Amino acid sequence: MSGTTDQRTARDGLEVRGLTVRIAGRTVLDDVTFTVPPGRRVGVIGASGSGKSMTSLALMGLEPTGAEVTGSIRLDGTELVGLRDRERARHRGSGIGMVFQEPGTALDPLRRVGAQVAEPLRLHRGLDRRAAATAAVALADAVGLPDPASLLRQYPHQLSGGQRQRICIAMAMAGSPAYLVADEPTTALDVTTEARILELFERLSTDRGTGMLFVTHDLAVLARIADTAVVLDHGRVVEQGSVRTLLDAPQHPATTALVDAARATARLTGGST
Amino acid sequence: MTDALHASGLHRTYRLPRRGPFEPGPVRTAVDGVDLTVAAGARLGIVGESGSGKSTLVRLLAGLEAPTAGSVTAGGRPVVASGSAAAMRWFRRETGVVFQDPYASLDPRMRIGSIVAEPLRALRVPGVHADLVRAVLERVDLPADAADRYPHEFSGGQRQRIAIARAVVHGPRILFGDEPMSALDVVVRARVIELFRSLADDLGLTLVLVSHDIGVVQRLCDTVVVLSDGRVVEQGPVSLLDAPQHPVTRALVAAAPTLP
Amino acid sequence: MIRRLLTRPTGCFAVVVLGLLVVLALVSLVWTPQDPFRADPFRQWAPPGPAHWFGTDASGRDIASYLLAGTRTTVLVAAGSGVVASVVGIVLTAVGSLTTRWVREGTAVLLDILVAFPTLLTAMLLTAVFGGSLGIVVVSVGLSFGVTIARVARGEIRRIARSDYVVAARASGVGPLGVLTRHLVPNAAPLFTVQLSLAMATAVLAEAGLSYLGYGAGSDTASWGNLLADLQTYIGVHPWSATWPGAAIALVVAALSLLGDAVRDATDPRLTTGDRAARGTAATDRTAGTPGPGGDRAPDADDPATTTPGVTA
Repeated sequence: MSGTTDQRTARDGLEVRGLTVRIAGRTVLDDVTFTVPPGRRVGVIGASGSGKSMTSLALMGLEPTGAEVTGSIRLDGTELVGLRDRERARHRGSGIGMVFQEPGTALDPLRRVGAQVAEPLRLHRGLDRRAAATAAVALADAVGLPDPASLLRQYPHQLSGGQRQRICIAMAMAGSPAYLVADEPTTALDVTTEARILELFERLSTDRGTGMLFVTHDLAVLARIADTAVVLDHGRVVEQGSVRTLLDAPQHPATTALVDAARATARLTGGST
Repeated sequence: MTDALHASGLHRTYRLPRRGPFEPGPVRTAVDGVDLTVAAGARLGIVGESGSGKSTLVRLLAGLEAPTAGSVTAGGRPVVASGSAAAMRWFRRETGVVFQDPYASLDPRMRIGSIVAEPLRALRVPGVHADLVRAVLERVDLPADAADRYPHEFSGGQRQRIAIARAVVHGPRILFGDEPMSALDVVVRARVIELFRSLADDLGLTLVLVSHDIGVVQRLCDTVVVLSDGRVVEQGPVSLLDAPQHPVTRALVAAAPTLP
Repeated sequence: MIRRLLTRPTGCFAVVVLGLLVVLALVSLVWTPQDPFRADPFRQWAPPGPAHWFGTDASGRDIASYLLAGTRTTVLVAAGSGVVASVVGIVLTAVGSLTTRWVREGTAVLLDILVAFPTLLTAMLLTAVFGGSLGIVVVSVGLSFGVTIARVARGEIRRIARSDYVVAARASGVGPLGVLTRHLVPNAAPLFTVQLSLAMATAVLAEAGLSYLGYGAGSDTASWGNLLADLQTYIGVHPWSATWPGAAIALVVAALSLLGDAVRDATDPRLTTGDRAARGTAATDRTAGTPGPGGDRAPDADDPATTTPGVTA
């Protein structure tokens, strides 16, 4: 199984080659190729409809029913495309975890958050209920939740947006996955919380060597969290490289549009317009 | 010159659901004693963290909720949110509101034409409504046939434009925005900021904009009010965001994304 | 709208079956192949043939004629309970949504209590007091479902009333009556339609069940329930005879149940216009990705924990 310390040194990364997704005759992703090296943070950026969300779903094997997926997704050498759902499910959580955009709807409103964090712990680490509860507290602490023991006894609606997203991150990290996919994880959060959650992602990837893929429409967010990025436009990769280069010298018009938009909305520094 | 809006001593508290059969629910204070003046033609930005009370404040100013204490006046006349629709008609005529969620602010069962014409009907605005609707839709860069279609046929950015069209079609003087850009992706956001600016300039609007996004406020507003826990902690010209004094303002400005 | 109904298989089925039912009911007013009540002791259990299309029963009555005559009862029961359920439902919903706080809360509690009474039990109760008749069936089913409709619709109306587009309407100067007629009713209508069609379907079933138990319309009324009750006692000896009323009841109940769904789908603009991509999102009222910090919204301190079933499947 992927994710043990021995294999970490021999990891190939999360390699996507020629990923194509078609739904109802429409090509949503077209020959997408990029790699998330182990322990590094990569961004996938594009406007609405560029296919970026489908990329994250395809990586997890969560694309909608009826979607045809061709191409290759290799998780540290293991091919994921073409696996049956049951086999694919074995990699979810333990090989590759996912954090969604809306922490409000990603959590079961009727269960205490402690139980929700414990669930993947029991599933992936095979812990019994008591051990899972303890591990959940440790995990909650690791994602920066204050007073974890009593916070875990609460229900999702009693937590703030930022706290809920931390819970979702904890759940995604519970199986110690080698890679984490985050689909617009901070879009639903206010700006101060967003900054802190991005810091959390950074810390987790550095401390645990987790490779991360961030899907977003906002270059400013990406600039803070990722080193390299892939630009999607209408399902195709139109440019990729270091975020710095994309910002300073965008080549493709789609990238230019994103950079201009980011500059038109980012905070102005030193003197107003 | 009369002020467009004046708020004094605004308080808004909520009683949360009770925890036991015999204890009354706890009281949550969303707005805690806010005094505010907006000059005619001014562009005011209300910023703050989530939970700071800024959404509640703008709803109080827009007459959509009644304060628990305090008052709001517009051009000297009191705004009574709990008043009847007829009593409030003068205020509704002068104001327009754009909400945050473009997917929830348009009735899914109504055609765009009816949605945008709704203020014209309700306020009995004279003129040929169909023409007014067509003109405003054109002004916000929507195709001519949009009036016959339904909201679900449009993207988030387009829906927000429709919402903006509805908010200005009746010729108001004050435009309120409750985080109108937050649900839009960055490319669309840039365009909608431009639309707000050009509308405000062309129509001479007074703007009251709530946002947690410093960048938006810096571009659209000339004055800013910073809220924290329902209170105003800092206010002044928007340039104060370049050199914030109060720690809350500092934190907000520091957290706002900039491009390296 | 009929055209849109007909393009969907469920709608087509529902319209055809129910249309046929109504036509046959009208026909039966002027003509039946034989006298449905004429008992002919020499013609018991005749097999289906040119004289008796579905054969005869134990008393020699022509099953086909009886079935035809029974269409009238079915139509009356379905339509009658539909009307009663609608009236009761609308009145209770209005009282539960548009009045002062205490009346609303009181109505909510009352509805919760009333919903607990099973339909058939209500029918039996009313029959015991007032004697068995078609009217009793109609009233009891109508009442039961009216209460269910009200309970469900009330929750839906409160949900809609909290939507941004209703607040936007108020901000545009629309008064409470305008909000009610232009926003609340049209958006609550789909739920109402589905519940109403279920009420009518249940009414037909209930009539059959009550007749079987001896509580429904008397034996001088031609009803499918009566026929089924009679014929099923012979199911060991003449198993095929009971299929005729059974199939008729099943068809009509299915058609009524599906009608509600079909009408709801045919009137939802998200399903009838726009491209296919939009259709996938019509099943939920919001499309994925409606972000934004919502921390400032007023908590609904007024709200008892009413669970509302979803509007669409």
